[in-house]
Amino acid sequence: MQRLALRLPTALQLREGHAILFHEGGTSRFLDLKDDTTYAGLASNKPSGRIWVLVDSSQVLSEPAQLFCAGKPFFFVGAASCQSRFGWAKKVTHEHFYMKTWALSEVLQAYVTPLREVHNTHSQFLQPSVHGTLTWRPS
Amino acid sequence: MGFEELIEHTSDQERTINQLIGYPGYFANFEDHGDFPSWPKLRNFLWGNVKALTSLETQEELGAQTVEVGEDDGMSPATRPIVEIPTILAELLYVESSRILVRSEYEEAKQAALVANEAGVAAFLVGGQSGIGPPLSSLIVCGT
Repeated sequence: MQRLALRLPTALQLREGHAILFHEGGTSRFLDLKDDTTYAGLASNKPSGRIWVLVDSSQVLSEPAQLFCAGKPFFFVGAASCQSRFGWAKKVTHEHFYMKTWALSEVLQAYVTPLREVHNTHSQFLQPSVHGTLTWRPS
Repeated sequence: MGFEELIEHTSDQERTINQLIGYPGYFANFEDHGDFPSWPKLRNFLWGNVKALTSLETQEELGAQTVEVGEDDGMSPATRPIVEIPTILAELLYVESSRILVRSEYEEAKQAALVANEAGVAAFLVGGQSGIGPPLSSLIVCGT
């Protein structure tokens, strides 16, 4: 969210075969998620100039699009609760950050903070959409 | 290190994006089919709207509320920041609350991502907590 507030172009893969790009001109959909040379024109000379791709691995997206796995012009940032969903990353250079479990003090703070006002990160996030199909929700 | 260092590249990025937008086969305008979240609405609300993310509130007083766990035993509530996000943003993101407890792990993950980006690796992977998606978003909310 901060990236959007700072006007930083940011891509998001939602599900298999579906990814979008937030940019100055609006919200666009990637038309080619297989050929990693298609968007080579977006490449920057410096790593800082890469476009970040945020991916939340889940039941509806077990593996990111091939396009985003090759590095330039993208920087893949993926989150997953299940480590097996990162198996594909063995083929590319990557860094792995493993979050510690909640500390007791954090649990207690959440406890004394009105429960209904703190986001429950362990709830079920997949639910049927109005069309009767599973739709994206943060997980 | 923060996202601010990346801003200097945005003009180049936008220029190349605009060039590709103009050609068929690269991008199409995203059409909202009623799914949640509504990405175009989310983008339009957040884009350039730094004020939308500044309602960071340190809940020290709240964290100090009495919980019968003893004194100086390492079992007192933490005083991590609670991020207040605008209600409309919570609705667009389809989360149940507009408040998120920002764990130190989220901030460390963000810093590690920035370092990994600078190092040029292809991917940065975050794991270890179920339901990690919204917190990953929250670390972006609170980061400076």
